[in-house]
Amino acid sequence: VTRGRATPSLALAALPLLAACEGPQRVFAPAGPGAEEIGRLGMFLIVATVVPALVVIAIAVAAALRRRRPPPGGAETERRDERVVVAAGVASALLIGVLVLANVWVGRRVVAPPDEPAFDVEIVAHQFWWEVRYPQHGIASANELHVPAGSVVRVLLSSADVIHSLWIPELQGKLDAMPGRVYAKWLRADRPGEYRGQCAEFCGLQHARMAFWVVAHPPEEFARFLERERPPRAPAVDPVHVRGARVFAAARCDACHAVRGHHELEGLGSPGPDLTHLGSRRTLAAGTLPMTEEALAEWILDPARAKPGVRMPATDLAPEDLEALVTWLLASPEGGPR
Amino acid sequence: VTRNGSIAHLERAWATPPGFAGWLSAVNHRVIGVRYMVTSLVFFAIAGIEAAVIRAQLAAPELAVVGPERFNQLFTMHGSSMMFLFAVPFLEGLMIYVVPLMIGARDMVFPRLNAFGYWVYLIAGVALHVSFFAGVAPNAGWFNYVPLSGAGFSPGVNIDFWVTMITFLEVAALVAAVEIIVTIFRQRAPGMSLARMPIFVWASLVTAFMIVFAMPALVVASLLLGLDRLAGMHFFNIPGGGDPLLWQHLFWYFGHPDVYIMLLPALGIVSSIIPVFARRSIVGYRLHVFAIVAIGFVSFGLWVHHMYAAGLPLVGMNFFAAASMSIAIPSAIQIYSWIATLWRGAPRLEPPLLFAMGFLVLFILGGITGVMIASVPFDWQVHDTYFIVGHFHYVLVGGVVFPIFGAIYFWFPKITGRMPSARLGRWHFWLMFVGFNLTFFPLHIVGLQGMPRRVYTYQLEVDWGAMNAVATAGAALMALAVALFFLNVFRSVRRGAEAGPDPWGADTLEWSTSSPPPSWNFRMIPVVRGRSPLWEGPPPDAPVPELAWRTALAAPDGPRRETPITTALDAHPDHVAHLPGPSVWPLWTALAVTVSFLGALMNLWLVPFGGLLTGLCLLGWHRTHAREPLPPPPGRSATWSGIALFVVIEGVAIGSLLVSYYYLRLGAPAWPPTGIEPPPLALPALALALLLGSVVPVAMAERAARRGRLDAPTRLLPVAAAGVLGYGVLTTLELVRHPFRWWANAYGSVVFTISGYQVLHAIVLVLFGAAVWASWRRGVAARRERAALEALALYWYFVAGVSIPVFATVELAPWLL
Repeated sequence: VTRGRATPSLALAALPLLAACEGPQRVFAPAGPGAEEIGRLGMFLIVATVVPALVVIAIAVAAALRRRRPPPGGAETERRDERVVVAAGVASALLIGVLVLANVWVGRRVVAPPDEPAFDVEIVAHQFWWEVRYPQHGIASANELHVPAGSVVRVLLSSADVIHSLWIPELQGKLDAMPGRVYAKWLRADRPGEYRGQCAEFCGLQHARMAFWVVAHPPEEFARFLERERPPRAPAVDPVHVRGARVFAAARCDACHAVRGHHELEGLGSPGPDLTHLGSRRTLAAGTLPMTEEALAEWILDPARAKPGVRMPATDLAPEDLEALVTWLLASPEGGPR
Repeated sequence: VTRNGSIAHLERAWATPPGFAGWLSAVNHRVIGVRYMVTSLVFFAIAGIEAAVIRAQLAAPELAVVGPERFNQLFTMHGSSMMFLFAVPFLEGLMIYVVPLMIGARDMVFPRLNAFGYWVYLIAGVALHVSFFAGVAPNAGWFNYVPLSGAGFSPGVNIDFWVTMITFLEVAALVAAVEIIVTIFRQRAPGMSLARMPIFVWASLVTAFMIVFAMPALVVASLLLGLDRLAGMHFFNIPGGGDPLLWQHLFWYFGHPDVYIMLLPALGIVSSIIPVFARRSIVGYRLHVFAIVAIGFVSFGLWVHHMYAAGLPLVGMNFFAAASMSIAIPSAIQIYSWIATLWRGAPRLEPPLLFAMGFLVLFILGGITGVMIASVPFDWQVHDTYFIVGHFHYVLVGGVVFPIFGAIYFWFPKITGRMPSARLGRWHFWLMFVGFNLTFFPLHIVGLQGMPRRVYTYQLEVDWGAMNAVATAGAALMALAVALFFLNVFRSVRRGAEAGPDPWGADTLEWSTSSPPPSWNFRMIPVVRGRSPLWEGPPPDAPVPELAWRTALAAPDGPRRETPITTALDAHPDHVAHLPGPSVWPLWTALAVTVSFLGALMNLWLVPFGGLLTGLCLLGWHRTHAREPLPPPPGRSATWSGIALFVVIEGVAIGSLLVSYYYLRLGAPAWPPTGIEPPPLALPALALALLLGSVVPVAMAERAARRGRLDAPTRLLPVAAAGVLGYGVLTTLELVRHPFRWWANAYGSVVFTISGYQVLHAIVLVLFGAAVWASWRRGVAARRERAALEALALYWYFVAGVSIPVFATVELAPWLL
């Protein structure tokens, strides 16, 4: 993803252009058919309204700056002026009519998926992270969704607590994650890449740290992803791993977190993220920290330091226990080092 | 009586008593209006400081100026204060100040109600800020989406403060709306037919009607949220059968019209300023009236555009999208008309016109982004991003705050008698205009870069730092501009040049009296012959021989607050009314209501206790209004009009409750929930019959009183009261007999709430009836209390009328649906 620095004067000069070339979660940088349709509609709406608006503003300013004596306004001029106003109103109404039609047209195209979904994923929003499950593949993860580029994936979206909103601007518009309801939405990334999004409905203290990634792989790479993530964790052999696994239970991490093959939690809506393949994820705590041993150790000791309001409690593990736990959690599933 | 003697009478009649007690008892509309405006400007300054802290926190990634909890309180308070404590109350204050002067009235029709509304507003605003300084301010956003704002996820007292104080505040807004409507309909100077009303008065009228039709839904929504939180009900609680989307519908049904409740008076202000400074009358008066009324109607059909991402069906949303885009058309017509007026005129760029021009530019820009986000798919991208923040600040700051500043510069000479400094005004305008655009234009861009609203910080990787830094710099410029404004006000109040009655050469009636006007506004009630009374025909104070009562009002033979009441459409003189004078009872009543509302935060039993205190205070309020016996008015009294509006307000509230019932019912798998039988019908049917039957003696009493049989009501009212009492008792019995309670599930919650509301109605009717009966029996009242009897009768018919849909819903629907 390319980044640049904006200068304010440029910003004021060219809103749509600038917005199209800055940052990692842009509306006007579509990487899938959903965002592309909406992006075209957005550009049309902007051009079709900004141009007449600037003309009207120019006339208004000119009218205010005219220096002349008030003419004697007869009933005749009065009627003519009124007719001009009405005509301008009718012209605006016609423009609005076109925009209404464009809105309906694009809306239908954005709602219908361009082809059959390859598979379903279930996303459950939590305060303040995303639970991600691939029911057809038996995989559970958090805060990132891996998809094959070019395929439609159907997302079944819900919430375990309050209302959140799932939004990956480069792929699709947003949809609320509503407790008590399951909504369906389709996604398709046309190009391999990482597409960032974050929670878009205010959900409490850490609404700001609830990032999400869609990682689109070329098809063969996606097959390798499935191979890597599908198997459960092998039994711990390395003494450090054995100790880490024991700490995981002793410190009651297993009350909220599952590690498949080691400790299971039933069904959707688990209280904490699945940690089976924690080491392969990009970030810790929904984009709050990098996925490193130091960051994970710091996080386990006091999660609220980096993310005040997080549901996970602090721990007081001894340094050796903590190190063993971190090593085991970040180890690759086969039991080898990360 | 000499002429000087009559002036002395006017002075004595309309004076506010001296001293602190007198200050507490003031009721004159100009005093109350100024109090509203000054208080709201204090809240504006506080909410502005909150905004500055928000901007400081967001100036760069990962700052820690404030923590997340405080940040959430800050944006909740900023939004709630700017809307509920600044914009709406300021505009109400302005309408309360300006409207009576514009229509040639001496005061508003219910002066004590006016004072009561102000005290309620002040108390609620102060209580909200006490919670802020105590660190427990509301923190779930001004929109308070459940379940986040429910007891489960927000167990603290924070949201309780919002729920109770905002409901309380709405009481003030509704009171002001009733006051404005009845004043406009019944107190226009003779000759000011509807078609001659200044556009600002039209805007005020439509705004007040919008308040009447929108705010009760918010009152109901926050009441239901309060019941969920404090009484364990389940309206929005999913496990109990409630639905969070119901909250969104109720809230936005109010919330979107609320935007236009702020915008319409602002449009009215601009329509007042532009003709005066263009030195010609406005082009297309009828188009403006049409546009204002159209906006008022259409704004009630837009609310779903706040819920495009909430998973509703696309076909339905497209209708709301079409309506949301179309509302731009009436606004556009007004814009074209203002431009035509300027084009045909000879504009003087004084500060009021500068702010009106700033408004034009910013409102157009906010309007076009409004059209963009009215589109469903485009909104799926920009909804809840800073693009929206940019949009609505263009509409609310550009579209409302700029006209408010324009209004202050425009009416400052009238209110204070002194001119504001034009030089400081220009500095204020240009700093504000540049600062505003610097602050809010970049927010559109950062929104398109993906920045969501209500985040307390953002990470370095998302690259939003540059735009945010610019916005924060712009905010500093705006703060400087506002500081210059306050400096201008403070200096000009003391040292501004004498203004005289009409410094701008304006066209409406308020400029025909001195600045500031005397406490009775107009000695000689003006007679109106056109839309711009000061620009056409003979001056309004010229003697009009055919109206003998005008001379009598100008030279009264005793100290009385007399005002003419005119007919609603044509403003023909109907009768002369005596307005109540200064009183501390509105303050006591406001404090009594406060016991109910603040009490709800501590102990729910304080709610009925406060209700009892309120009832007692109302007695004191009315008994201290010593009126002279006057011949009964030939038409409806103003009190009757007020009660009629109160009935509309309650109708909207009951309608919201019934809609909530059916909404919950439609979402429920079984209704009543499995294990609960539909209610037996015998008892409720008997209760309904009693209530409907009680209407007969009431109607007979009303007829008898009108025909002069003054003893009949004393005999008939107890019979009617017995019927209502029976209704209340039987309805209560029915509730008690239910095998479930309100905390059982959403069905129980909605049944107990609606039936409980009707029981409350029965109690109010019995007490109201008893008060009218007592005054009627005292006999002296007979001639003048017919107004109260008619008001009672109207309310009675209303309660009986709603009992039919209530019966059909609560008792029949479980059997039929």
